[in-house]
Amino acid sequence: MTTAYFIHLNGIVQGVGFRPYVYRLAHEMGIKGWVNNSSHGVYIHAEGSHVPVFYRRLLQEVPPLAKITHEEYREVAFGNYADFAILQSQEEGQADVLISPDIATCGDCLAELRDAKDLRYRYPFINCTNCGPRYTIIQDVPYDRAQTTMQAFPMCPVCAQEYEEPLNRRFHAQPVACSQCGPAVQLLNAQGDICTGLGIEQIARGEIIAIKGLGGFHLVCDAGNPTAVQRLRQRKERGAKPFALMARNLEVIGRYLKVSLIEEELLKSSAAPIVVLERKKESGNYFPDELAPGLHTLGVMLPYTPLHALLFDGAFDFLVMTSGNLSGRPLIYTNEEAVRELKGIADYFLLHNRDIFHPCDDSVVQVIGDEAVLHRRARGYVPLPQKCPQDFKASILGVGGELKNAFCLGAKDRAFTSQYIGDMEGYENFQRFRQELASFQKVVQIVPEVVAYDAHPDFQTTQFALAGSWPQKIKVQHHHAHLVSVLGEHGITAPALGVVCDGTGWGEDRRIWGFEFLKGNAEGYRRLAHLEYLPLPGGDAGAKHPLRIAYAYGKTLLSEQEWLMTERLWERLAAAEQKILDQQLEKRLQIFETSSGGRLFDAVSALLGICTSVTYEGQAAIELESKAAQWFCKNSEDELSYSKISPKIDDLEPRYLIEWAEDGECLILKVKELYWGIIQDVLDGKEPGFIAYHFHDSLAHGIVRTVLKLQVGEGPLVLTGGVFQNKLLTEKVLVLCKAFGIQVIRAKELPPGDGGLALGQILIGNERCS
Amino acid sequence: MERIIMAHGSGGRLSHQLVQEIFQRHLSNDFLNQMNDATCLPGSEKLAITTDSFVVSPIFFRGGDIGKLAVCGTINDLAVAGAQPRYLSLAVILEEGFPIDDLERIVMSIAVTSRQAGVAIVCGDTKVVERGSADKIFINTTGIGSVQERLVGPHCIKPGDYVLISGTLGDHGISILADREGLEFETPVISDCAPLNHLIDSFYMPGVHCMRDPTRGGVGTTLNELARQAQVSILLEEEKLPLNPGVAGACGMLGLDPLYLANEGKVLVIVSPEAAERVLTQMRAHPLGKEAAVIGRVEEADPGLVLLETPLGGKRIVGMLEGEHLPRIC
Ligand SMILES: [Fe+3]
Ligand SMILES: [Mg+2]
Ligand SMILES: [Zn+2]
Ligand SMILES: [Zn+2]
Repeated sequence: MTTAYFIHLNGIVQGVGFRPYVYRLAHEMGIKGWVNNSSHGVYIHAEGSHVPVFYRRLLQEVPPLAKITHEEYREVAFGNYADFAILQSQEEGQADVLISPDIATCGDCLAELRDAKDLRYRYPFINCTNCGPRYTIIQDVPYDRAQTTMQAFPMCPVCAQEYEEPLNRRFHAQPVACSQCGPAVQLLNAQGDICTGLGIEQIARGEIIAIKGLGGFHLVCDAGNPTAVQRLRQRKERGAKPFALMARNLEVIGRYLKVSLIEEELLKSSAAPIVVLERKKESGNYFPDELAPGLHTLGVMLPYTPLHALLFDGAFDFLVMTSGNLSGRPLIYTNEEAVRELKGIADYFLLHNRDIFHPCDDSVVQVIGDEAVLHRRARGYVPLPQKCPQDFKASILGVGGELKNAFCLGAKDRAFTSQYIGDMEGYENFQRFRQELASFQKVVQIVPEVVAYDAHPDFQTTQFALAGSWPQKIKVQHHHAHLVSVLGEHGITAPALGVVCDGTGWGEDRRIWGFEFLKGNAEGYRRLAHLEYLPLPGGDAGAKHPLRIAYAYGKTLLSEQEWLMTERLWERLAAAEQKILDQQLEKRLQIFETSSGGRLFDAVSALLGICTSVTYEGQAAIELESKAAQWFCKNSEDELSYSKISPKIDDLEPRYLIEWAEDGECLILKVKELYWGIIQDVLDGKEPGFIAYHFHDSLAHGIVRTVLKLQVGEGPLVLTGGVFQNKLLTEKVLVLCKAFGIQVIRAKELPPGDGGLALGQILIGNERCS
Repeated sequence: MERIIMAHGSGGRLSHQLVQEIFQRHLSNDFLNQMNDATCLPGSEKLAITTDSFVVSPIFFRGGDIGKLAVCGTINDLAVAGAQPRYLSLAVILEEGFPIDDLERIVMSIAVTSRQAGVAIVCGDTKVVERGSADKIFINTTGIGSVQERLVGPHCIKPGDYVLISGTLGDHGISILADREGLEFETPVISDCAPLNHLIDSFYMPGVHCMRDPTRGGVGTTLNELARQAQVSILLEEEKLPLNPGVAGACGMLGLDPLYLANEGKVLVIVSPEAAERVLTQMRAHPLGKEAAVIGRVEEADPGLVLLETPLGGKRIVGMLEGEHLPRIC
C-alpha cells in the first residue's frame, strides 16, 4: 500500500550530514518526496510503498553525530512526486535547532589529508559534514555558511560542486574549503617576518610556538625537551600548574600512560577532550618533571584538527599544548591579540585567517569510578543542552560562580551551559563573560527574563546580576545549586540527600560553607550535617598559604598538651608569622569560620609538607591526592588502579576516625581525632604518601558513615562539589557505597565543580520565580 | 587619679569647673569665651557645613587620639569639598568613671591640632552618661567653612583625568587595628591622622576636578563611589600605590587589602592631565604630601567600575565590598 508521511525531526540534525542521509535512504528504498532544513529542524515528505519502514530506519540509522530530540509524523495527501529531492532551506520564526559542538577531524578527512592525489592533500582546514568547526565559528542561527566566519571565503567551483551534491560527504558542510578558496596558515617569527612551513623544525629545535587552533591559541613546544618546557613555564609565569599534552596517536599514549577502554573511547571521541591519565611505572623518566611537577598523572589529547595532525610530521610524539593566555586572563583567539600579548612567550606564531567567533578552551575529563567526569567543559561539548525535568516558567539565566565560571541559559525544557569562561575576579575574564553571554543568547535563542545568582555578596557575578535590568532576580545558596544541578541532570525532581564538598560557598548563617550534607530539591533544602567550623585565618590569603590553615586548625582542634608536641611541624612558619596567627586566633581577628572541605585538604597537604604554598587553585589538594595514589601504586603488588581494591566489609576500620556531635537538628562532623592521628603519624616519621592515602580512605569512611547515620530513606545519594573531582576520594566513597547498597548519582555532562553550578541556579530560580 | 562622675554633666558647679579647667583653659579664643547659648560669627561669604561623630577604639593610638581625629576628620571633610575650614563645634559624651587626665590629654590634642589647622573651636557641650551607657568617650564635631570659587566634585571628573593620592595607603587602619588588638608587626605602623587643609591650599589650582578623603572603606570604596557618581571607570596601577612596608607586611599576614583600609590624613585628587604634574610637585613640596603619587587615571569604558592593573598586566576588579574581605576561593 502506498502512503505519504509528513515527518518532522529536530535535535542535532544540521551540519552533520543529515539530509544526504535521508536522501540516500530514500533512494535506497525507492521513496519519493523531499527533505529540507528549517529553523525548526528537518522536514520530510515521504511517499511510496514502504514509508513506515523508511520512518523506522530513519530513526534507527542516524549519522554518528546527529541526535534526535524531537520526532513526529502524520499521514498526508499523496503528492505523486517523481523523485526524491533536497529542497532549499526555509526559515520561519524563531529557530530552535540545536547547534553542534566542534568535531574532531574524521577518519575520511585524515585519509584525504595524507593522500597525495587528493584535492585537499595536506590542507590544514580539510573537513566534511562529519567533522570540523561548528560552534566556534557560528555567529548567528540558522547554521549557514553566511552566518559563520567562513563567509569570508567564497567557494571555488570544485568545493561548490561538492557542497551542492547531495550524495557527497561535503554536501552542505558549511566550513568546506580547499587550498584554492579556503583559509590559509601563516608562520611569523617574533619580529613579524613571514617564514615558511608550519613551525615543525622550530618546535624540534626547542622553540615555543603560539598556534591558532579551533577555539583559540595554544602555546606549543616539544614535551620531550625539558629545557623548552622549563622555558615555557617561566615565560608563562605558570607556577606548578600542569601542562596539557597532545600525542601523536593512541599508540604512543598507551606506551607511557595507562589507558582503559573508557579512556580510549574518550580520547577518540568527536569531542577529543584532554583526558587525565595515570603514568605507567615503566614510563620512568620519559616525561620531564616540568610538565606536571609532583603529579603522577598527565592530561593528554589527540590531534583534533588537520593542522594538529600535520604538526606530528615532526619527530616528536608528545607536544605541550597549553592554553594561549596570560596568567589569570582569558584564552586569546585573534591573531592581533596573540601577536601583541604572547610576544614575550612565543618565538613563532602559526596564524590562520579563519576567525574564531566563540573562543573555547580544550575540555578536560578524567575517568572516576568508570565514568567520565568533566573538570572543564568547553570545546566539543558546548553548546549541547541538558534536558530538564520540567519546563521553565520563564526564560532564565544562571550567572554561575566566581571561579571557573560558566553560565547557563534555560527555556522550555532545555538548559544550555556555556563553555568554561574563567575566574571572574580578573576584569578581562569578566569582559569575556559579558561578551559570551551576549553572543550565546543568540546561538541558543534565549533572552532571559529572570536571573539567578549566587548568595555570595562579593562575587562579580552577583554584582553583575544585581546591576542588570532583568525584572526578576533570585538569590541561590551555593551548595543548594550544586545539589540541584546533579538532580536536574538526572531528571530527578524528588528531594535527595547530597554530599556537597567544595571550597567556599556563602552560607545562610553568613559563614563560609564547604562540606555539606543537604537534603533537598529545587524547591528547598535542609542542612542535615556539615564539617565543624574551623578558623580560616586571613580568608583567601590564608587559602594561598595552607601551612597557616594547618596551624590554625591544629591550634583549634588540639589540647594544650598535644599542641606542645607539634612544635617542629611549624618550623617553616616564621616566628613572627606564628605570633600573628596566635593573636589572630585569640582575638578572632580576620578569622573566617568555615566548614570548607577544600581547606581541610589544604591543611593536611601542608601538614605532610606536600604543598605549603599554592600557585594554582586546588594545588595543595591535587598534590595530596597524587602523593597518596603514588604511595599506593608503589606498595601494591599489581598495577591495578589504586582505587579498584574493594574493601572487605568486615575490615572497614579506617586509620583516622571522624566523630559526630549534634547541634540541634544538625550533625557536626568532628575531625579532631583525624587531625591528631595524622599529626601523630607525621611526628612518628610515617611516609607522607602513606598518611595521605589513609586520609583519603578515612574521609571516605567518614562521609559514608555520616550518610548511613542520617538514614534519610529512599532515593539516590548525590556526590558533588569540586572535591569530588578527586579520583581517589570519589572512588573510595563509591566502593563503600556499593558495599552498603547505597545508590549514587553524580554530575554527568557538567563538571561537579563550579562549572556546573549555573544549571542548579536556574532550576532553583525557576522554582521561585513567578 | 580623678575620674568623671555623673555630677560633671549635671550643669552645676562641677560641670562649670570641668569646662573652665579643661576645655576653656586649652581651647580659649574670643568666640568660645563669649560663653553664650549661641556663638555669633562674623562674615558674609558662602558657607559649607559638615558634621561627624567619633567613636574610635582605642582612644589613644600610635600617631593620634580620638581628639585629634575629631578635629582632622571634620576639617578634612570641609577641605576636600573645596571649603576653607574656619570654625568647629565640640560635643563630648563621657562615660562615668573616665579619667580626667585622659580627657585633658584629648582636649590638649584638640587644641594643638585645631591651632595647627588654623581653625577655632567656637562652641561646645559636655554630657556624662552612666557607666556602660557609652564606651569611654564619644566626640561630635561640626565644622563650618567658607567657600570661595572652588567648585569641585564628581560632576567635574572627565575621562583622561589623573588620580593622585597625597601619600601612603592604610596607615590609620593598620595602626588602629594593631593598637586595638595588641598586634606586633615587624615594622610598627603609625596613623596618618592629620588636618589636610593647608596641604590642599598648597596644591589647589584650576584643573583640580575632585577631592576626597578616603577614610572608612579606604581608597577602593571612595573611588567606587566616585566612579558611580561620575559615570566613569577608574584604572589604578598596583605598582604605583604608595605603601609603607609595615602596612604591606600586615596586609599580607592578615589577608587585608590596603585599598580598603582607612586613612585619616590622605587626600585623593582627580585632576586634569594638564595640571597633574604641577599638582604632584606642589603636593610633594608639603610635609604631608612627600609620598604623593599618580596612582591611576579616569577612563570612559565600563562606567562605575574601578580596576587595578597588576604588575603582570592583567586587571582585577576593585569592587564595593559587603564588609570584610570574604573568602571566595572554591
Ligand atoms: Fe562550589
Ligand atoms: Mg562627615
Ligand atoms: Zn571529515
Ligand atoms: Zn575550494
